[in-house]
Amino acid sequence: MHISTYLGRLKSAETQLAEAFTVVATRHMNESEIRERCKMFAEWSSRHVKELEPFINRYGDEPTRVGEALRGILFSGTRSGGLGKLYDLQDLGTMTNAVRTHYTILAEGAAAARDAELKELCERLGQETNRQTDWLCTQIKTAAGQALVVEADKAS
Amino acid sequence: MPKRMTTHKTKTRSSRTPRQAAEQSTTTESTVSVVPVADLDSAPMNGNGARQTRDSIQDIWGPRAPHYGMWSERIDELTVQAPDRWVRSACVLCSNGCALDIGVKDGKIVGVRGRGMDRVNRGRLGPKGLHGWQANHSPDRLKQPLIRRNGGLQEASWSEAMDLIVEKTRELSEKHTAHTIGFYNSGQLFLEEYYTLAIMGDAGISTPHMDGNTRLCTATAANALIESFGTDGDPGSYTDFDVTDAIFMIGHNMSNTQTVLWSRVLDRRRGPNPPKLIVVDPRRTMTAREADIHLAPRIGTNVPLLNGLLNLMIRNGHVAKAWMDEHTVGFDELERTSQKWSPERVQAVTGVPANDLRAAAEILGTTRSLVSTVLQGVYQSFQATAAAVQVNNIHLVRGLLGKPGSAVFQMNGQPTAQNTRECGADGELIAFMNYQNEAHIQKIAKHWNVARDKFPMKDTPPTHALQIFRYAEEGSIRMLWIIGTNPAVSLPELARIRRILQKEDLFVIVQDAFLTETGALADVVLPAALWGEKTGTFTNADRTVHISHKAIEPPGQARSDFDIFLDFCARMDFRDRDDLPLIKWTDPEGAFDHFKELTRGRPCDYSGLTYAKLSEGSGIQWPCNEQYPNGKERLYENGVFNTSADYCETFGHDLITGAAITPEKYRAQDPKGKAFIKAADYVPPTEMPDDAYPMLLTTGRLVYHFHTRTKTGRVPALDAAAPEVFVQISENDAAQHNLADGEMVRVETRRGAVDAPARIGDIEAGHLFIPFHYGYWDNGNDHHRAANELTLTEYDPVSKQPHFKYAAAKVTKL
Repeated sequence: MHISTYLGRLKSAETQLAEAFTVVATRHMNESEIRERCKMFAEWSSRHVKELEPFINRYGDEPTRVGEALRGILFSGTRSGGLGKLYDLQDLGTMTNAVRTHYTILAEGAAAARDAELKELCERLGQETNRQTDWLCTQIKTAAGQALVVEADKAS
Repeated sequence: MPKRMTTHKTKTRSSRTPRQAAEQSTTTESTVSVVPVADLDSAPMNGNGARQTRDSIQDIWGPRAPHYGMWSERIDELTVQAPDRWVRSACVLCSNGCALDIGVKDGKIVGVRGRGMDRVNRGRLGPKGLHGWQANHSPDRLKQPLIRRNGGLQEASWSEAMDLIVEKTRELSEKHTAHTIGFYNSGQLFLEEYYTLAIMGDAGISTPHMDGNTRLCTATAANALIESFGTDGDPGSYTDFDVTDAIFMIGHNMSNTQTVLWSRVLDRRRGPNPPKLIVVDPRRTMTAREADIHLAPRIGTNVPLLNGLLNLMIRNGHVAKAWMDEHTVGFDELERTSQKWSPERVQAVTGVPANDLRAAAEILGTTRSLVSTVLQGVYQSFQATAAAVQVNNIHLVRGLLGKPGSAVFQMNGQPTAQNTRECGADGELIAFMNYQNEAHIQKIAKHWNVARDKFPMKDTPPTHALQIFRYAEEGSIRMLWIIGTNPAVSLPELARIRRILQKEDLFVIVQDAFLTETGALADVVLPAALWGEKTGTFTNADRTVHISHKAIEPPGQARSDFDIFLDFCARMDFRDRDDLPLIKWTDPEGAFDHFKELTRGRPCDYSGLTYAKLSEGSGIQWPCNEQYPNGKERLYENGVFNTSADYCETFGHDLITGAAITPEKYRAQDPKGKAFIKAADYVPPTEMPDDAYPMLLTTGRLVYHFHTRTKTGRVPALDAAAPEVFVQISENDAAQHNLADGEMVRVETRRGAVDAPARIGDIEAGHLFIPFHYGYWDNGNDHHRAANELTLTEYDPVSKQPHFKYAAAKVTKL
């Protein structure tokens, strides 16, 4: 039974995602929408970790640093101006997609293990993760044109 | 505060002119007229044939004319001299668009007179309508272009000013692309001007940065209509007020914001079979005082309140299941979401007593017909679009749409605001078409005869106002053309806006009739004509189109916005794909006729309208086409909405996050004409009161002023009626701060400070209210007066409309 493996991976991934959202919100304080939405999504991901706790208690978890590892690869390099904003949004998208895949896998495992409660949780939290990704896609589409064709003189 | 109107129950006869008596007698089929004795002054003001049929400053809403069904005529007039001629027009100072004629003598406007035949006002005018024209002749009018040289604004010729703008435009476009150029326009232009600006921006310069100050007042209305019904377009008619059994007004202080429409409501309320009235407002306004039920939720809690009402309606079985099955999708999610909002939970979160909620829900659930109106108390608040959509839901769950007496009005702040939406001068695509619908884009490209890739290629809407200013702040927008609006007073967080406008690398053009606080910071100022000095059309909140003919010449070298745009296009030599001039028209009528072809078959169908038709009758609603040659009263009469994937205006959004629904996802579940019932749960506002800033500040309008008082502040009667800013504070809070009425206080938020006299009463404890009109053009540049010094740079995820209506604040006695 490797349910605990995936619970551990999810806990790591969501915890890191919550932190990443918070850091991006702080980095773009003057981008009102990014600031507010990333703060909200950080809360969502933190809440997800709490909602996973009862199942971690039930199945145990295997602590893992898979979330840290992914976050460490992303979010590197100088991040200024419009391009910096795009990189941040894109990297968040990579993380939300990773989280989403985890939920998909865990949902299948829960179904196989006949744990209806866990399956329902994974589907619900997976949907919320989709909403995070959808917002990132919308933001990226909106910001990309300007970021690519115009050079801002400085990050401000 | 205005004197409260006194009503006398007995019919009185004061000294009326024979003409007034004649008018009175023609209205007997519907009414008993009740006339306050002291307020009807029909005597000439002097020997010049001046007339003032009523004192609209003292008595804002005029004498009562109780009615059910047909609303009577009452011609309001204020002229300072007898005119030589009357010119057909309508008022632009609120979204009613009351029909009026402009009186002209010796090349000057000498007054106005309402038009009795008109469907919108039946001759009535409010205080701004009766007095606002006086601003046209203010000595402060800009008469000559100005260019900033050696640190100051100096007079220049039109050639110099336009050459400079053209040079700057070309330089930026060539070096950095047109994405460095942005437009911030106004809700005060005419349809023809918006249409010209739209093609100038889209196909001429080809920039995505185009928005108007309508973002601050009307964006949520448009978005809410689109989310629920598939396209923009208010479904109802002002005649619905004449027969409805109940009126629900949320975040809408109609007594202040649309005085003539409020007169209509009052006349129903005093007539036979009066409608029930439910008002939702944290303040005890004049509107709230009239209500049968006044719900005063805590600031920021519209969504819980509306969910609570919907929950009760559903629990009580007051929903039209069969109609919903046939005409809507999404009810199940609404049921699940609203279920979480019991009356007790609503009371805990909003402060609204459970029994009041129950009483309101009983009316909404059982009334035979219902008119709802929504305005800035929803649109400028947290979760604006989500809340506005819940009001649509109240109508959708009961099937109360598309029939006489049943309508939802997502209101506007200006009558011309509707036209920015229809012409694509704000975030919407022209004629309510869809950015993500290739067939729609092709239709526009073909009509304008431009190559497809000249048109903005991406399938996202244009940049919204606050993002335009953010791009300017970060330096990726370097030219900002501001037209007929005053962001240095009307945008949130004014200290930041001033910083942005004063940036060295930002070239600011301000096109306006007066030198505003924004103009004072510009690099180039272009003197513009006002209403009355140019011809054009505009459309109000119930789709009624009026024409306004030019009555007088603009002063000095001022020109209409229309002419300025045409001049710019000619100097830039914008061409279509056949190398012919891009702009195919030379006068407003030409622009109108060109625009209306694009609207054929769209919801806002103007194809049956002409200048001649609008000039001979009065206001005519769209759609106006072969099928409805005199306009159509209501939309969605057959319960078929504009949600089909090939017809709709957008594919909708997540109401909480603002994420766009993809075309693929939408098409996979194409509702094909069914309306969307979209649920939304409560998200608490981000800036909640805390120890440092324990109160909640809200901002709003006064009846006598329009926007930043550029015009109304220069009209003596209006200015005298409301000369100064104030802070409205509750008795409780005043007592805690040892405050007497009129004593000076300082209100601070994390953004700035405003000093103002206290006005005690009619507001919930813990809340403060400051009117937003008072800038600093007339007080020696003292910034501590504008409400927006205090507001925050935050906006709705879907509509991008700023959250003017809340901020955490503290108050100290000065």
